[in-house]
Amino acid sequence: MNRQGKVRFAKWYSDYSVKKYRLNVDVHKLISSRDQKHQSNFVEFQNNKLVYKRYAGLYFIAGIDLADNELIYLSSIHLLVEILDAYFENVCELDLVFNFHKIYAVLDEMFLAGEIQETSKDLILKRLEYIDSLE
Amino acid sequence: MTTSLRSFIKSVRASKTIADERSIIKRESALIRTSFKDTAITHQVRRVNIQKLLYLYILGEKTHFGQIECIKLLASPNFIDKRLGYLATMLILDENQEVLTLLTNSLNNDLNHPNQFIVSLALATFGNIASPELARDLYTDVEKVISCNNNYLKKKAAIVASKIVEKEPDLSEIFISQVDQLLNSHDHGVLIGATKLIRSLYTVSPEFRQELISKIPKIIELLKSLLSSNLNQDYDLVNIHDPFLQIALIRTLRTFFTDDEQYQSTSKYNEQLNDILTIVVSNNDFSKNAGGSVIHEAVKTIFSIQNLDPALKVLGINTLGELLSAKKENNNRYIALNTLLSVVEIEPLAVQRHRSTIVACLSDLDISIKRRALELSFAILDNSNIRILIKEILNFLEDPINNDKDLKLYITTNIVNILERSELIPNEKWKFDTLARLVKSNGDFITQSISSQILGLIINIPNSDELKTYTVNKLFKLGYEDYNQNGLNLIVSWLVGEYGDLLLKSKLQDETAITDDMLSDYLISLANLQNDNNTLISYILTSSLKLSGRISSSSSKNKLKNFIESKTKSVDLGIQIKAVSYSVIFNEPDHIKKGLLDKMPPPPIKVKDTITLTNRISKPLTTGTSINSTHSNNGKTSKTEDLLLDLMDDEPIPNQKSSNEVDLLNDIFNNNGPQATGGKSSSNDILGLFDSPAQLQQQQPNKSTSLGIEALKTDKVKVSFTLKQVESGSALIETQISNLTSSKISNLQLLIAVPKTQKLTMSSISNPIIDEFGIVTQDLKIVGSKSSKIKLRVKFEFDINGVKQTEQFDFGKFKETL
Repeated sequence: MNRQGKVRFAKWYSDYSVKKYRLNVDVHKLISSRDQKHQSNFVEFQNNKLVYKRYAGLYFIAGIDLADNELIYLSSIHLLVEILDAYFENVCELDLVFNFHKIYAVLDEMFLAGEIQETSKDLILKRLEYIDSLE
Repeated sequence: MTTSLRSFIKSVRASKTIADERSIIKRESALIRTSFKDTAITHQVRRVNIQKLLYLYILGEKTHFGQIECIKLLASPNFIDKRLGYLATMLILDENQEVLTLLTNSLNNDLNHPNQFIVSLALATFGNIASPELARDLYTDVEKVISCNNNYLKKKAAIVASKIVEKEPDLSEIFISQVDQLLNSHDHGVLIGATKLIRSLYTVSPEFRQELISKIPKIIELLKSLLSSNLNQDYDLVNIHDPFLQIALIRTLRTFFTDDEQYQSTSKYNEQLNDILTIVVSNNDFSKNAGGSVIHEAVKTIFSIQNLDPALKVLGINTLGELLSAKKENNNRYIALNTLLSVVEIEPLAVQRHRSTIVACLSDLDISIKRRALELSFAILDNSNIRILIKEILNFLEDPINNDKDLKLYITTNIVNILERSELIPNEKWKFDTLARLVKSNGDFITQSISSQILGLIINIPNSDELKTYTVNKLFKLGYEDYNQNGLNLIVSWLVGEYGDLLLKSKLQDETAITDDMLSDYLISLANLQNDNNTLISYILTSSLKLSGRISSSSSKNKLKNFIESKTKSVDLGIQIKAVSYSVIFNEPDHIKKGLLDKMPPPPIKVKDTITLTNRISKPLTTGTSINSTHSNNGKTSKTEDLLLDLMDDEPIPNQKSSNEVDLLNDIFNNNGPQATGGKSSSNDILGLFDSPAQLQQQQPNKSTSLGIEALKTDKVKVSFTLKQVESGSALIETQISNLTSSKISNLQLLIAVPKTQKLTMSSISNPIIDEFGIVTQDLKIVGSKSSKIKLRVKFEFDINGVKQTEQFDFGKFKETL
């Protein structure tokens, strides 16, 4: 999601069939109003917690359970960004805009059904390269 | 005809206005639909269509029309088609769609595909949108994959398996046998998957818990070897052994050890757990997120398990204290406060040691940290630190940068609740000084229910006590100087009416004596200033009437009389009714008035549940709702209070007063009139206008009996009936049976008979077992000839402590008829 609240990519791991759009708007309102320097990267939202981090103009936001470990999700967001950066070679927002379908492939290699499944950056990158070569 | 995805994205981005954008999107969406209908399109075109569809999805547009198309695409033999098809399916479909059945066949084929990437796609899709039906149809395929030698697929299959058992617990048996071989893997991904599967199995199928618990040594072993091995470049973040795996392992251990039912079988591993957690905590440092997350997980585990080594708990609390004070690291602070909050109930003393750090967090800029610090401050409050803590909190409250309305309301409510708990209060004078300071700085955030509580506290001071005069005088001085705070106005206007005589004996700040005129002028000018605040006007009306009985100056009395009479033309119905009744009472002879205007008896103080500000794991309430619920409560109470304010006009007959008054008083001060909803009270007002006051009186007691009419009370049980609905010829009655003992009541059976002219239908009882001090209900429906009386003969049986008991009684207390 960028600073203007435009969604660049989103994936829902549980059933949120109602009002996804509304949720997006609310989440954006909440997060963009927060002070980056002085506030923590966690905020409660409805029955979940949001863990977010801003990289340049983009927010990476993960909605997690109240009982989940916030810091590790923060680490995984960072890992995701590192992988994206390596995959797109210096990633920028426009890469994500035009290649949104590829991001999902990255996500799928890293997470499955909301659970982290692979934590090795090199391994994920190798896989992605190979999969792309199949096309 | 069809353009590329790129140009579509570009044109959407290039559009200047929202209308432009909409029209482009609409057009494209229509094009895609038409194109779907064309059976002759190539795969190339189909792919572009789906890509665009996904873009629409990201924009938040409707995409349901593409569901079938996605499934068609993934059935194609080409990898590129499959890839996009599965991707789109994962996003656009969810487990509730009927078209999922169309997917079964493709998934089945692809799970057995020789190409591992195709299998992986199928697994990912399955994991994301698994439905119970799919789980049943495809579990054999997943079982095959999970036992293969390919780590890449194994880890995915493990997670998918965990999803399968979550959807369909009956399948646990299939996968439990896989746990061992998964745990023997050396691949981190597989191990993470294995822990997830273990947790899911543990949660959904109790019959396998023992078997899973026997894996504890293995898991501890894994954790130990992970910590002692050399760093593995692939997995480790900034010199920390794969934190993801560490956390997954610790979390799994926590799942086992927090299950009280299995305490017998897990406790023998306690020592090993102690050791490993100590190693974990000392092996990581929280200067980096990853290390911090591991420590956090370990500390959380330490506190969620009972009977661990106390030394470990101390280590845990100290770690948290360090986290709190270490440096300006908000993430760590947030987490530390959060964990402390969950710990405070178990180890209050240890948490108290960090009081100063916690209080320092009150001045943090982050609102969520502030909230937590605040809640924690209230949680650690006891009689040893009440003075200093309340002082800090009031300082916080008076600081102008803290203007969050919810927070202020929370603080005010909480402080008043604390002041009601006399065991915490160092002395009475301190109590009322604090109260005055609270009212002064925060008068706007005192809601009606809080002001009722405050007034309750004041009424409860013995009449002879100097303190009463002192407090009333102190508050009056505040109100006299500041007309702008709503809560303060309410309190002071009420006090003037009730304790005008005490005020007359006291003095103002500058030693001028308080006179009759001063009091009546205060009320009247307050009313003029706040003319549109109906609640306040109601308070002032009652006060004026009461004050008239406490003062001697006839000019002041006349002013009050004129004021009351001026309100008889008020546009507000409630106020008008009140003013009219009051002006009648005003003209009654003194001896009648005296009985009516006497001081209120002190109401009992009810212990309040503490309200929480933040989400706790145990009570997954959002902040929003917890605060909303206080609001809605307030809304209800205010209605009840209106009833109390109406008290006077309902009582032209003094001899009925006493019993009623106390009831209504309880209502006002205890806020326990959940039935007094807005609708009812307003209809009451209307009734009051047209009917005799006697009818009003009859209605009001009904409201206070919201818990039903008691029919039987023994030392073990209480039975009461509530009439939920009466229509001509039929009635709906709720029976409530409460257990008054501290042991379980079981095999409860209720037999009820009605007169022969009526017919009874009983619903099943909500629960045949009543927990200690619990309540169960059962609904009855009675149908009979119109306006016949409801009579019940009740016989009921139950077992308590294994002894059978029988009770029988008749009940006919309902005034209402069919």
